[in-house]
Amino acid sequence: MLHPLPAETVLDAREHAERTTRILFILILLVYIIFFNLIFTVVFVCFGKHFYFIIVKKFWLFNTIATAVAFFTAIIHFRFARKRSLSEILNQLGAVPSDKMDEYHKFFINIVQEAEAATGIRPILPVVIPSAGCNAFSVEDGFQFAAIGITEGALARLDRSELTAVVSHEAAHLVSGDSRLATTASNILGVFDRLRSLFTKSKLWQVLSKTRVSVALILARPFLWFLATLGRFITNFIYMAISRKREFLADANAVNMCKDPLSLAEALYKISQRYRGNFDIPEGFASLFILNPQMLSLDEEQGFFANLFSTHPPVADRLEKLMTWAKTDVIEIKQDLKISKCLNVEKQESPKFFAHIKEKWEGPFTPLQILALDTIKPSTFVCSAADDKIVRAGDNELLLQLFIKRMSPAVSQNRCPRCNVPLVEMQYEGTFTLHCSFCDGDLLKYGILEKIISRKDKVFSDDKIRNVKTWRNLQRVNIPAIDNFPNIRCPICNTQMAMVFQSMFTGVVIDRCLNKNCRAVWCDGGELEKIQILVEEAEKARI
Amino acid sequence: MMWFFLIVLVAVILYVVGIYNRLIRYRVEAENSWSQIDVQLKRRCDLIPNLVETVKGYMQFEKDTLTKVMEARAKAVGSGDMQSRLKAEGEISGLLGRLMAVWENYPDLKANKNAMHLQEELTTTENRIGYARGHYNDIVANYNALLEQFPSNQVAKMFGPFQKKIFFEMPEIQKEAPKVKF
Repeated sequence: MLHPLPAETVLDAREHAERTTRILFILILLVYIIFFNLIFTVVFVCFGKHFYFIIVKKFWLFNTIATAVAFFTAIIHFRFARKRSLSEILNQLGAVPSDKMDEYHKFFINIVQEAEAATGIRPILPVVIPSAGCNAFSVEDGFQFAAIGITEGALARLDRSELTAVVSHEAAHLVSGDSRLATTASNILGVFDRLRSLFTKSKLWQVLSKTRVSVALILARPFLWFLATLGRFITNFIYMAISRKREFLADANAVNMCKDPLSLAEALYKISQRYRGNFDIPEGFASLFILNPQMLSLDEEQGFFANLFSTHPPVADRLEKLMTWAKTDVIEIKQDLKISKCLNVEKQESPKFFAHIKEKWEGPFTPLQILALDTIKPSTFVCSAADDKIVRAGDNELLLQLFIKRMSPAVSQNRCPRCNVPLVEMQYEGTFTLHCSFCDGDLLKYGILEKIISRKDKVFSDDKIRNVKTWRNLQRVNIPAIDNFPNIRCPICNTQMAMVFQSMFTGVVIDRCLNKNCRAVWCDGGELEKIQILVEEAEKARI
Repeated sequence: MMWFFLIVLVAVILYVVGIYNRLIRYRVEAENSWSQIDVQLKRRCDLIPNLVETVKGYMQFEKDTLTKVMEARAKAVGSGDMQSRLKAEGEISGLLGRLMAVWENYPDLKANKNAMHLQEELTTTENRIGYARGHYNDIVANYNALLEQFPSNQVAKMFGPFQKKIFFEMPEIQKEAPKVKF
């Protein structure tokens, strides 16, 4: 059976979206004005008879003044709300700019730039939340700066076409100005919140009760509070209705943009099956995520009551629509298993060298270790472990390359906290770690651990997986005593590092820098792989 | 009665101003998005020499295609008028599409990091050209519709010259019919 495609273009959709928004927005404003006027009236009436007569006789004049005051309050509040710049919102969400050197981020940056071309909005800042959860969002501040963000978890699990579909969905939110709407709605909710707090715990009431200005006013306090609360709830309901409609609209626009409803359906399905992340979301901004990050049981239910309380329509409904646009009736969603790339990760046995340091033969060292050891210079005599030939290190082709590399920033200034040799920058799972070639420990800057946990490029051998599982099972039996390693200092900022469990699930003890601006992680040799294997095995078991 | 006419007059003026501003907005937006397509086409032209240099060692059987790509690029860069440039760009699109299709047949290329990087760059540039083209055509469609619809066509006639814009279409090269031999 064939279904008609969505006939509207992106521009039509934009106009349509603006129209609906305008109507619903006017509704929100009306609710705001009505409730503000009501509150104003109650306060006025409480002041006494004269005031009551003024309201009755000059009803329209009074209402006009009250409306003006309402607008004035909202505008002042809005001025403050608009001051929140994009960077503040992103900070609250814990998002960081994407890294051009990271393999996965490169794709994401390209796709966001494609979205710029498709929407005509530029620039859009590509940002990433270092969380293993799966979600995506878009924000725009009062100064028209826009950003599209995604979590590391989603970045690792979605393929290029799915990622394009997700970014298109977020770009569609930007095109229809949903972020601005969210700011305005949250601003009006904020005014009601201020009023509520004024009627509950304000010092004003203590002062008023002492002066006995009006007993009626104090008596009317619960009623005033009730009015403010009711106003807030009604505004919130209207806003949620808008946000649900616009979620469908963003799906439609995304399909129109990327012409790939099936990929969007797949991405939506994948994200809905996973942990969606736990973020500190600014008031009213939950609607800007592709799926509600604060998962509620009502989300997937239908009916009037469930609808009232959710910012997103049920995933099943959205999927059904997308399948209609994809012109398929059968839901053919791929298994949530990314085909493992099976890169040849088997390391070749690297040549080893003995080095003549301080009148003594030391070693054998691997090339990576030599890279980190600054006591071995091009003039040092070395002897290959394979053929016993003694040459100057600089004369060996392989070692010469290493000495050239040593000059580059690949060899960092930071030293291993255990062995005190310089750490070497190594590419791992599409990102970079600072690796110690002697103890195999890794220093991970903030956010890198989450990236590595979500990504599955590296394939582990069965033996390794079995060993790690045995290790974990033994741990469950004997509660691990903290090992004898002394506390270490962070190689980057020299702050004390604390030994913490990476998570209670993996039970691996890692060292985390206590400096809030650094938050680097030190994993001793093998710990990183343990964490990866345990998480991957648990995910496989779920499927 | 006087008031009534005054209100109607103000409404009409506002309506006309609204339509005029919309026409201007579409025209500016169309010009802007045209320049964006241009940026992406230039970017693609810059990528091609690099691509040919990287893959020519691997793609022994596609030497012909690679030379054709370089020729088409030279035509696109050197051409003065729009028509011949668009024709050359269309040719490049077709040839690159063909290269991307046979890419999978060369496992050595997949192992080459530089080539993979170039493939991603080309894919994203092609996508961007496509999206920018779609965006441009959307705007032109709306702009042209406004110029033809009543009463906006009257407004356009009254205030200044508004010319219809042409859609951006790249003439693709003729696809060769498969030769079947018995």
